[in-house]
Amino acid sequence: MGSYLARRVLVAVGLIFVVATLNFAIMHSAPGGPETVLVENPRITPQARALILKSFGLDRPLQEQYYLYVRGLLTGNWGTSYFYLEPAFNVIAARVPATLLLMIPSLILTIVVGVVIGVLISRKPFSPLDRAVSSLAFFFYAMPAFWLGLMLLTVFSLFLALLPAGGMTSVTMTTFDFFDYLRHLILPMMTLTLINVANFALLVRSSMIDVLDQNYIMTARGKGLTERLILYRHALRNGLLPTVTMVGLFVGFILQGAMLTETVFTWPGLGLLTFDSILRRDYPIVLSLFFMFSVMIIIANLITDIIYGFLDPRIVYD
Amino acid sequence: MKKRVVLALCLLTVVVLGLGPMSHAQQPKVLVVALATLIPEITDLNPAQIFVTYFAALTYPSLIGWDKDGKVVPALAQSWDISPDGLTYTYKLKDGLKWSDGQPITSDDIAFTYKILSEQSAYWYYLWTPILEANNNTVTGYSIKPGAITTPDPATIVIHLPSPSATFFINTAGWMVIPKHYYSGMDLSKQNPDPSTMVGSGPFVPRQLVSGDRLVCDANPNFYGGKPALDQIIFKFYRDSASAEIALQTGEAQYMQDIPPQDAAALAKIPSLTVTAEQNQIKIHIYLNLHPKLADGSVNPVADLRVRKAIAMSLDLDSILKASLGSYYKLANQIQVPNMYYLGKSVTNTSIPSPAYPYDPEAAKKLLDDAGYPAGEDGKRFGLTLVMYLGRWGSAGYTMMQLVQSYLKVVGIDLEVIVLERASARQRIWGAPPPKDWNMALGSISSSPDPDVNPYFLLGSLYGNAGAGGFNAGGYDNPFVNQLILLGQNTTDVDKRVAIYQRISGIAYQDLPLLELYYQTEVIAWNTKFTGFVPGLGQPMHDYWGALKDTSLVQVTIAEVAATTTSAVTTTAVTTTPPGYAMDYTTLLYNTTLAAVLVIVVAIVAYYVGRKRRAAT
Repeated sequence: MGSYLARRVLVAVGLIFVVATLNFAIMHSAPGGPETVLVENPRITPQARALILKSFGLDRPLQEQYYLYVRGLLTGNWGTSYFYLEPAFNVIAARVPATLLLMIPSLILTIVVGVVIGVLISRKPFSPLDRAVSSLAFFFYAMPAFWLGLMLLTVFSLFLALLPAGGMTSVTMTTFDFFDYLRHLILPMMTLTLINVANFALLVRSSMIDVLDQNYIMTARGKGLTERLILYRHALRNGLLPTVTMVGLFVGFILQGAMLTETVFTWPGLGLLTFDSILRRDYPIVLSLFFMFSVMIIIANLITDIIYGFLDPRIVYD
Repeated sequence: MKKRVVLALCLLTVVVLGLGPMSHAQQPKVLVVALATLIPEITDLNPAQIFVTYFAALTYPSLIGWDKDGKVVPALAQSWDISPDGLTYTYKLKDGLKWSDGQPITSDDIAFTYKILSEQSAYWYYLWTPILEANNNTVTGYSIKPGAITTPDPATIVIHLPSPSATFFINTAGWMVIPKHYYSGMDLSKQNPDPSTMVGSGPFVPRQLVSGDRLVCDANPNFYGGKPALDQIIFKFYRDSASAEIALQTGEAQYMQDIPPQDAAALAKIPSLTVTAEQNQIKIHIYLNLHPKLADGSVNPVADLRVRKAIAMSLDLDSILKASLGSYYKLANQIQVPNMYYLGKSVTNTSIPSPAYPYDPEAAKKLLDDAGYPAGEDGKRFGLTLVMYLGRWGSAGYTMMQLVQSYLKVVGIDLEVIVLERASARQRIWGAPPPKDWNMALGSISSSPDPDVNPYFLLGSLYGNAGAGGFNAGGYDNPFVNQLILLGQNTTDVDKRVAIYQRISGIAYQDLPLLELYYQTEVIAWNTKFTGFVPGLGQPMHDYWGALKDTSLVQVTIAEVAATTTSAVTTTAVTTTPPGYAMDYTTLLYNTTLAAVLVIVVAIVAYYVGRKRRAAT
């Protein structure tokens, strides 16, 4: 196990480095830099533009910029944002709570509801209930998040006037009001959850169907155990194994998964920051965000694999 | 079973509580402005770093202001005097001016503003060009010549120019004045002001910036125009106009400008909203690439004047614009916007016809034949590319270009419309070095209240303006026009200066480096609960569209009468919108539900058919 872990960590580090390099290459090959965003104002002369590029450090050769970038990542100095004039790390850190406030409840709800639904419909595969729910799941899974969000916004905010039309808090709230936050949370959370629950439920369903087909389940039935006992004591533990992988992936995506949803609901989190910064070519923020996301996913993957090894005694790492 | 019931009950409680009555516990006098087109950051409150000056301009009025018709009026200055030789400017401040923290506004503040901006602002230092000298110790490489600015007493500022400049007055007297006691000692290229302590002289001063979400501004009782009737203005940022419009309709936001014209009709139907339109100083045009060859070495047909004329004559601009913008546009025929004045005199060249070129496809075809591009058997002559992004014209711009495409097809030109994301498009249109890789590009320009801007930036090739990064994307290079531009900057005699710009407009009309499309009519909407808005030229130096006037913001207040359909402000006649362009949510929902029901029905039918089949086997 030890050598396996060491190997995986080494590979992870290498992977992070490769991803960071690719991110740099991609961002810099996208046409236009932060100075093109400034062409909004026609009165920026070419000289002023050159001056601005110099202040961003973008007039240096690409290799030098790359070296500074890598060095920065390793030393924890993620650069200074072109548009906030503040360390990128601070800007990002300030937005993390908002994203977590959105993603963690969504994740919990997704797992709970997804498992419950998946288990329910796996009991009688291809029954009318199963088909109806599965179809609905495919329906939501295939739906674009942006569109679903806008539709929910239209229905609940515009037509029914039940929920606010976006944002994390009401504009007039000066202190953190739990119910106000809750009211603003419902729609974006519903958007994310509906799509992810669909994914989850289908996964749970298929793995549970597999498990329920096994001989030991038939034995348990033969022994006369109640269906409920069989389901929750015997089948679920094995059926949920693939779900662990899924949860691991979800957790890895926890900070980045909501970009489109945050845009529709103007939820001031990391997704919105990513969106804004890419459009503005705010390289320090974009590259730092990408770095952070890739590290999280790679680590989440690693941890998931290790946990999986403990959960499933059939798996042996050498 | 019990556990599940308990769980369900818990969830239900949370949901019910969450859905509880929407607390309309808003402070009584707060206006929420929805912004979909500009997302300010902390740098937009930093006078040296801003490039979107809208918010800073609301906080820091200038020496002079503009009225609704674009004429200069006093703001912080009560009077100004320019010596006959054009070398000495004297400004006298109003009596009793105070910053929001009670400190007096003095001539020192103006001197300080000019000094700090010319030394620290890479974006705006050039405004003071006539009185700048080189200085390697500053961020910009420049500083103000010693002795150029003097302050004989706290209410007087005197500026000495080495030679006359017709643009200096508007550029500098129209620029925002910042407080010396707040910014003194700060390096604005590295530090931003702290919104919670900001000091301003405008009707509202920023108090809190929640990054990416909103900007909260408190009323300033010391505003020279009087204490505002509102307590707060909150600017809420949205990423797209659809979300912003929803907020407007639910009442969470109460004012919005720069509304896409195609949504105007739907909004006008809502009884709680007043929708109006205002001409601003933005012109939308198509750049024509004037280089004989493109970047890949291929011949550029557009470089030929006959081809450009043919393109102009194959378009029925009025129909195209009406189909994409409804009634919200003013046909453009020249390089200057119609409400452009110099010292009260209009610079519009009235001898240029409107439309500039008549719609005459047959004449266009003949011109193309003459230019050496005969039609092939299939009617095709050559292909062109047009690059655009969804800028201030939104998706209506794309519709517009598609219509241009169909009109050009009639005369045998195959136009490929390339829509790119903003930064990429801008890089391709302006950033790339000439000769560029496109034949046409959609662009716009927002003027300042001085006629120098449009010619200098669209027609001039001075100081690299026709090169990489320059605003003259098509590469128009006319030494005579350059000379006229320079002359215009230095001629202070009203009649002579106006004549210069009219001449430039005439030359541009004949050389056709740009295909003028329209002058923007901005759609503005506000909740009928509020009255007192006077849209129009606010601070055109800073705002790119008809923004909230400082003086009108002072008067905006909650209407006494309950919201009804009639209001004191006139609504422009909203003409019939072309089909398909009004965002009709009801129809959308109906269609979606219908589609969903259909899918479910099909699924059920398929299931039963399948069951029968399996039973049969």
